Amino acid sequence: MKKVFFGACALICLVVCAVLPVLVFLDKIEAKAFKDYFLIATAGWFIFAVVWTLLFSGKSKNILP
Amino acid sequence: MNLSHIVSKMDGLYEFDREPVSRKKLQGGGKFAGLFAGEHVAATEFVIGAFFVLHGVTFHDLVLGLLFGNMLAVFSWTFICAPIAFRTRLTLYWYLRKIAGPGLNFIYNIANALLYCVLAGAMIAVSATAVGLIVNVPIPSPSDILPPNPGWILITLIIGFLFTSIAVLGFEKLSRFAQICSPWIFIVFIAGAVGVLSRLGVHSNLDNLLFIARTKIWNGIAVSGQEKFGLWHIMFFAWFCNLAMHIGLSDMALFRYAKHWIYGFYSAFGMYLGHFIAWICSGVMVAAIGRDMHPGMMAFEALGLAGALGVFLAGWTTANPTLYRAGLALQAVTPNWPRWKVTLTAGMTTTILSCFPIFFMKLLDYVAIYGLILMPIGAIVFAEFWIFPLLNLEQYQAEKNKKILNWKALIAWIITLVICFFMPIHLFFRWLPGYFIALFLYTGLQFVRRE
Repeated sequence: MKKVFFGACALICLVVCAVLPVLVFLDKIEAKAFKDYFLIATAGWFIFAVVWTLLFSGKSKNILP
Repeated sequence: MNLSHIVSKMDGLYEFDREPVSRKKLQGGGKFAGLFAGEHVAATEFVIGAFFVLHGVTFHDLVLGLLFGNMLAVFSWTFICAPIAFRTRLTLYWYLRKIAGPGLNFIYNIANALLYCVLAGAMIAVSATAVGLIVNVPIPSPSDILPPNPGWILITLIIGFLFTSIAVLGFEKLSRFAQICSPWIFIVFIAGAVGVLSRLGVHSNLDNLLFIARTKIWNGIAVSGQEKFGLWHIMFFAWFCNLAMHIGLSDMALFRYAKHWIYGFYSAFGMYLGHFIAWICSGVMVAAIGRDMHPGMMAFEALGLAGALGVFLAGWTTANPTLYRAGLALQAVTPNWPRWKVTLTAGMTTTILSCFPIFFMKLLDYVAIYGLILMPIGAIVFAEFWIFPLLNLEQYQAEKNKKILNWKALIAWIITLVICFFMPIHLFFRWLPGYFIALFLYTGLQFVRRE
């Protein structure tokens, strides 16, 4: 359950990162706000993705070089 | 240290993948798609796409060149690299050993290690542009060969030391972190480009997007001091950008795990996400800052601090595996050195190289030279695998006769490089005739001197 939660949060942050530039291009938000929100969404992505990876570690095996 | 000691040391390093991959270890296509997508959205993409703009490429030439060039690269992985890896289930190291002997493997390893160090140095320099921006240190200009100021030297040395230390402490953990960074770095490229479109004058209904692309971004005018590039330059660059991996066959290490050789087509995920979309995005970003070759500034202007972080992390996460590979290749000639010491040596070499802007500012030429130097090995292996059976020539003579060095392979390699050096054509195009020269030369030498 935790894994799903953190995975979903990470994904949402990444989607926000992708949607924000469209909003600034369409003039829906200011350039300054865009950069701030992008930084916050970035922090969210890294926090949630790292936690998700920690929860996920041990179950995935990567034998490719 | 004698040669047999070096050979046994080198074999020991690669011992874990000596045997062909067993059926139960084969991987699904998704793994290959992910690997290619992650590996080819890297720090160098910030530089390459931007350089196309500086070299005065037109929009038409860029799109067509990248579409066809990347397609040729995908075909090279699919029809040249993957079939050999699929049938042999071996890495290039062990397969080349059968063909050319451990002596040639040793020379190949040294060449590879040095080339990797330069590449990692360029990645450190890309990260340094982001840090330089934050601490207000001017970055080199495209014509600079030597370090432009003490500040630049200090930044590259600090970053190089940081990257090396972390690579020494834990390559595996950083590899996991790189996997986390990978999708976000791709978003940084897209977001950076979309974020600056309005600054370039693109209307929100996109009605003038093509006009802006043709007149303000890829307008066909090279900046002062840069050579003008056309369709063929772009197409060949996209094709040979990873020459050592596909035609040069070093990605046999990857495709030996493929369930079918057709998995070579998964390389399209790396080519069209990284070497098409990311290159176009970095072109848009450099146009928005007035065609100044400054990856840190490009991303910072587009995305603020997160953009600078993106450039820094892109450099870090791609320099790390490159340092690892350089260390692995160098470990063969450093008897009894522990892993950390070899990585540290490779890292220090890389750090010193990164101070010199020529490797970063001449990245396109360097990529061409890198592929060119290793390409003849791919031709030699190709000839041995496909052509020798057709001509009834004996394969794997070095292994059968327990030779340390296959002189015919070494001569073919050296002569090909000498001919390529004197070819009166652009650097970007030399590898293609060079490949056929190596192919004919090695086959011819084997045919004439058959035992």
